[in-house]
Amino acid sequence: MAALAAKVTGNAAVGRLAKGLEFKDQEKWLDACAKDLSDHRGECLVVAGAHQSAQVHALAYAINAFLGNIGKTIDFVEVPESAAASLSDLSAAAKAGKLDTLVVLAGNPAYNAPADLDFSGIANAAKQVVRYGYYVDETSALADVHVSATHYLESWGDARTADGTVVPVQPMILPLFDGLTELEVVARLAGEADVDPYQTVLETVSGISSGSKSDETAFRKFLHDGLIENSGYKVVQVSYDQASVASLFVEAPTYKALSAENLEVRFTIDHKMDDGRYANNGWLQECPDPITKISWDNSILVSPRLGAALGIEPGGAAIQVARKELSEFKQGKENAFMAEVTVNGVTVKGPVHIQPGLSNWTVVLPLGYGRKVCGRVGQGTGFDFYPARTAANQEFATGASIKILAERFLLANQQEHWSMEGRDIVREANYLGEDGYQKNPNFVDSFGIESHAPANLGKDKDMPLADVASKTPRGNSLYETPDFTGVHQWGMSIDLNTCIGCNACVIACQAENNIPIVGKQQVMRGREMHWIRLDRYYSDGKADGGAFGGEGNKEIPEDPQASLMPVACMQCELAPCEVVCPVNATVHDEEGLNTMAYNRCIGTRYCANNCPYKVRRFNFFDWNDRPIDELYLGPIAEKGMPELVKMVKNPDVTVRMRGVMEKCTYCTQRIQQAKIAQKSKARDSANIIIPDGTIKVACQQACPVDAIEFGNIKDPESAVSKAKAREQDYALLGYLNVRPRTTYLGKLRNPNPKMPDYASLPLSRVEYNNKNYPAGHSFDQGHGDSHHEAEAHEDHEPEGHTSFMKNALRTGGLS
Amino acid sequence: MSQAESTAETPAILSEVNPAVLPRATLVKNNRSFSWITEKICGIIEGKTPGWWWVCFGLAGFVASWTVGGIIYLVATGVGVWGHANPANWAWDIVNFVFWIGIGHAGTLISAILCLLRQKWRTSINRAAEAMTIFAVVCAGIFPVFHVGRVWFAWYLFPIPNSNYIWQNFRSPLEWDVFAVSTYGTVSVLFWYVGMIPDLAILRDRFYKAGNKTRSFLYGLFAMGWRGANRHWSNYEMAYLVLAGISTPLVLSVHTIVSFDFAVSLLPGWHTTIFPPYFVAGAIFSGFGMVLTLMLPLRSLYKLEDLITQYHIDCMCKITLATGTIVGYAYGMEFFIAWYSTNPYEGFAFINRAFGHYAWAYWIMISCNVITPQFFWFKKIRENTALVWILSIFVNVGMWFERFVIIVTSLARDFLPSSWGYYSPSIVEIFTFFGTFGVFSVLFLLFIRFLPIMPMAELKAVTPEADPHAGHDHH
Amino acid sequence: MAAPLHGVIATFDTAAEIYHAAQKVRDAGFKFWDCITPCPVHGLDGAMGVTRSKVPRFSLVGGLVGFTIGMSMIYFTGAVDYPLIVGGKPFFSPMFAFPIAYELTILVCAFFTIGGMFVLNGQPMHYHPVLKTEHIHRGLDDKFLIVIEARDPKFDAEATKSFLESAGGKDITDVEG
Repeated sequence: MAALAAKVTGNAAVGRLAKGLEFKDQEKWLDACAKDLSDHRGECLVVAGAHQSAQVHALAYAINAFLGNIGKTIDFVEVPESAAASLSDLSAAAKAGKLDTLVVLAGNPAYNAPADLDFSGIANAAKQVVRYGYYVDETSALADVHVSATHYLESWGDARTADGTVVPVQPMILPLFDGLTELEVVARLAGEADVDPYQTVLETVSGISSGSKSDETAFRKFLHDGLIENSGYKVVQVSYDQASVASLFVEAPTYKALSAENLEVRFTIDHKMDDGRYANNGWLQECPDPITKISWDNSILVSPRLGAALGIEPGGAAIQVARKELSEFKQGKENAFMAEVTVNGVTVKGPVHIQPGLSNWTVVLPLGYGRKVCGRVGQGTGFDFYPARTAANQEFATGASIKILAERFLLANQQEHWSMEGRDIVREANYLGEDGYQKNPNFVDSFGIESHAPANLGKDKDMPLADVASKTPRGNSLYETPDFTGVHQWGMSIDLNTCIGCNACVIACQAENNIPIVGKQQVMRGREMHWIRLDRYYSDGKADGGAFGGEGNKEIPEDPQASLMPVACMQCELAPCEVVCPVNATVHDEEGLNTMAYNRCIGTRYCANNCPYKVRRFNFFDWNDRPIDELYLGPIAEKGMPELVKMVKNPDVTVRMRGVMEKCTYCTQRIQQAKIAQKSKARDSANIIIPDGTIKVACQQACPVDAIEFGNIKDPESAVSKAKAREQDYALLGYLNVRPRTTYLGKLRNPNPKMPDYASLPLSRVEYNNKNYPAGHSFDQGHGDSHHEAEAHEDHEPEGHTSFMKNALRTGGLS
Repeated sequence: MSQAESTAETPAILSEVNPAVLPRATLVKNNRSFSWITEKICGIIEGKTPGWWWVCFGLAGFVASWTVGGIIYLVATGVGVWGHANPANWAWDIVNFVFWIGIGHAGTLISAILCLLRQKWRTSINRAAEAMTIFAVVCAGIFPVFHVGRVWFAWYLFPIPNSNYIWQNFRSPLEWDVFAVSTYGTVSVLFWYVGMIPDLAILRDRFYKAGNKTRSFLYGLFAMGWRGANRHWSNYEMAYLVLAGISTPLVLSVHTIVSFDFAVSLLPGWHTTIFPPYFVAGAIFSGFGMVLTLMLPLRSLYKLEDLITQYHIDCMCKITLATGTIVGYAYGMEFFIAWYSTNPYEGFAFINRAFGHYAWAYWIMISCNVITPQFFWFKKIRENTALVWILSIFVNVGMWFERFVIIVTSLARDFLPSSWGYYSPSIVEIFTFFGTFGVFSVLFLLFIRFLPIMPMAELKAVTPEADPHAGHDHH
Repeated sequence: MAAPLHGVIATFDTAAEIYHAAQKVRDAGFKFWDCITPCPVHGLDGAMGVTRSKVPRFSLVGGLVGFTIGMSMIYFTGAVDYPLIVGGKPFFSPMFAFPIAYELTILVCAFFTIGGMFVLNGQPMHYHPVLKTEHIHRGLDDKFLIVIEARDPKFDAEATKSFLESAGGKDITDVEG
């Protein structure tokens, strides 16, 4: 950052701060980056991650100020000063014996406070500890009194968002387990004898909105809108003060290079567990980590370089036909090495996972696991790395070392293989560059098997989508396919360009469709039930086109590009699963849905075998009716769903018993409800077509970036039809002629051609070319001046082969 | 000799050239008479149960209990007690099904096809082979019935009125399987039974004469009043011929339909037109392996060397060799077509079979199926009964692995690498499968104890004694 | 009271003997008679004058019935009663209907064949005079028998016996009804 700041601002003083932080191709990188920023003054933005130090943030602000971004792409708001003391102050007070009563209102400091502050010591030093919390946790264990809290959905209250807007906390149900709301407790602590939380919030909001004591109208508006308008923090004008910032910096700092002996440790809040508060949430435990795809545990993440140095890289086979896995998988279970990481003088233990793309000498310790006092679900999941985190080094620390142990630990990794193997699964292009979107907006059609095979629809290949959806043209098929006569034809479009792989769709689907969790043991067996999954692929351009694999297959990618793809039932028009079900449990309905009749299914599982996308899920056990840790006890296990679990289930969706197959249904219950509502509204008129946008399926509803569009493709004006009309629209495995109703929009990358690590083709395309066109195709390998050594994969083709042979050799890795 | 006599005019050339007369192999050695045959076969049923039978029966029953227990646990708890998961939703269960059905096909081949081809040597082994077919179909049938998630609804597979008014999907190969395997089982039982009617009559009368009215009644019940009348034989022989004639296309179609379970799907490695002939050849191959495995010990234990001669063993070995070679050819052709197709998914599927994570299974399959039968080229090996028996075991092991390789590797790594996984069987699955050998053995032991293990009437018919034109100088 | 006479029975030692004897009996014009053999003897049908078996007619009918049941069941369920769109396949096609129709052809043909055989043989017939004779034990074992029934117009208690003796029969006795 310092070097970039120097380059951008031209300030030599800043440049001195960067000494000792050299990196590869530095000059070139800095020149290109600085030029790119300077060319877009007022239209660019430099952001420092929240975990960065104050110095780095200062440099980022300096760059933004210099580029004139302030007021254009970045605004500063005035936040009221917090009068709160810090935990360090509390710790000091405890040591000084000044603590009388300690009331813990939120959080779980016994578990996740910085270790050197010794919260248990603080608690012991206090004369009385009162803990107010929703769960009995580690802090409750230290407390003398635990006051049960209500859930926020059972309470009245208010809150401020990140930008300061006032929003309501409104109860949906009466408290299930009694308990006190937050407002009641805080008010009592503040001295109020009688508290009516509703009244309190009403008065507060009235005060803010209209200045009066009790304004029912304003309050109703507040609840209706969900916020008080213009109650956010105010934007202020700022200017960069070089002098006062300088006090943060040390002239000519010295840095020690990172290495295998001097590792940087990065503490991260886990994507699912947060700071550990969700450890007892089964849905979140079972949801795979978006990148590592590990569920039910955390792991120590190391880079491939470090993994190789430590000797934990799997050996692979002599003939490596597919890319080597990131870890040894024992019968489908990731068999991780246990390791000890010593940092800040503390040693923590955990399983190690090799993470491609991680900086060479950085080790990531995800926090939030290894809880000691949490409910039945979270007990014994993961490893606690909080003990290594000190107040001074809450985000990262250096000077760490790692030691591999002989012990092993099995991790529930939901995706064993990470490479696309040169297959046209996620179709990508660069915005510029060869075969880029700018030159070739139809880039998705220029590769893949469909690109050199006759069109599936044959002479009807240019038929408009609305007609294809109902007429189901036979294309080159031997027989006529029956028409779909429904007034709607449902379809979905998923934009791979916007998808960020957050997994919100996975959880939303689970919530909506009563999808059970199966527990770590069964996930390790590969039986997770999620109807939609996020596939995560790494591409480094090294997939080997050789016939029996090759040396390229034995490399684990150090700096790959990651591609994400949500995959759920594609609702194929010519569904291969339907053909093979002997009892007609899965058939097609008039509106294009591939329906699943649970009560008819006898569980032969042929449909799951015949699904090329493998989106069908089988109920191997009674996940809903028996406890998931007693599955193998069969009929002698406890029977029946606990009352609380029953209340979680969506009453509109069947709860499936064992032996039954299930899969994404395009939230058919929501479709049906919308159809019924539309028909009742229409009464005698024929206006039964649901307006576009009325139905939002669960995954679409939860997606934070609106990557999923769903609707009626018989209507050319619907959002989904427009999405499908875009040039980047393609069907996954389209050549199979299953005609999926869910199609994807290809991914675009936009790398700066001047950057030293520029590749003119996305690496997944490079791999595709390597595999399918081992040498001599019109597309060049496109390594450009990539910093992956442009060692060619062009040298497969021995001399003397005729062009016929060259074409015949174009197959999945045979040459 | 009789041939030369029957022609009215002998061409002059014959006296000049003096061709050698190729003797037909004697099918019953040592010139055994009809009554010897009757005594030999009936003696097994009438005599005291030998000690080794009790030992084997006890052992077989114990092993069979593994299947019983395994199935009860499976139905009570869920398919999860097996090793199935995404993406391998079929594994040992369907491998075992195809394995047992394949074994069954040799019985029908011996009974029906060899009958149509007038191979008289089939007579000493066809009864036991047919019994083997039926018991193999029973063992096979356990798997498609119980591998389903909800066995108590398995009747949904049959086109009978039901409460959801939905009919079956007749496009599905599994539905074809229902009809094919049911037909195969039924017709095999009928064919086996019809073949036994004359023998049951013999037993009925012998037990009656010996004073054992109960056993006489039981055998007599099924003998349908058979009395050996030639007018009955006339219809009987015609019915037998028709049954043989329809059993032949039946056995070919049944295993073709079983192969359709895979060929009709779209998975690389499954979706290939070579499957029907390849599976049928493989079924015959494994079936003959099992026939050899069963008949060679039986031959020694019951001293049946005169009825199951070296010629019989020779013929069986040669058929094993032929079908094994066809199977080996099919392996090569699959690979060739996958390469020739230039489809990346197909090509990978086959490379992965040979060198991927299940390569160990693949090479066991190749060595057992392609290399092992080649030993049968050598007469010395064919004459070494112990060696033939050992090789026959390898044949069955290899054929089991062939189905394993086909089913599991194609499922474990298919289109989308994100779904790739590794399947391994659970203890329950393993015991359930090995238990079926116990089930088979129990049934087979009961068969050899209570029913005539060889068709006495057919055996008699291939001896010289039955030939009305033997004239005065039959040897 | 003596039991009614069913017929006479004679024993022959070899297949050749019964073959020639049968020819004689056939030529003598007897209609209600039969040979009893432990195994089918090649050519004995011709020697007895028995025409080709009628079992195949039953088989043919059975096969046609089976095929029709198969095709019509599949047509009715798939195209008429409850048509369902399954994988975009047509509601009925002789292609996918063929395997099941084929199997049913074979199944019903087998039933009709065996049924036909039993019908033509008059089986089950657990009681028959011949089964009460001593001869039957050897007849099913290693000897060949000829039975000429009393109801045959050419039957004569004495003449038939001597006729059989002249044909080579041994141990000729009466068969009680």
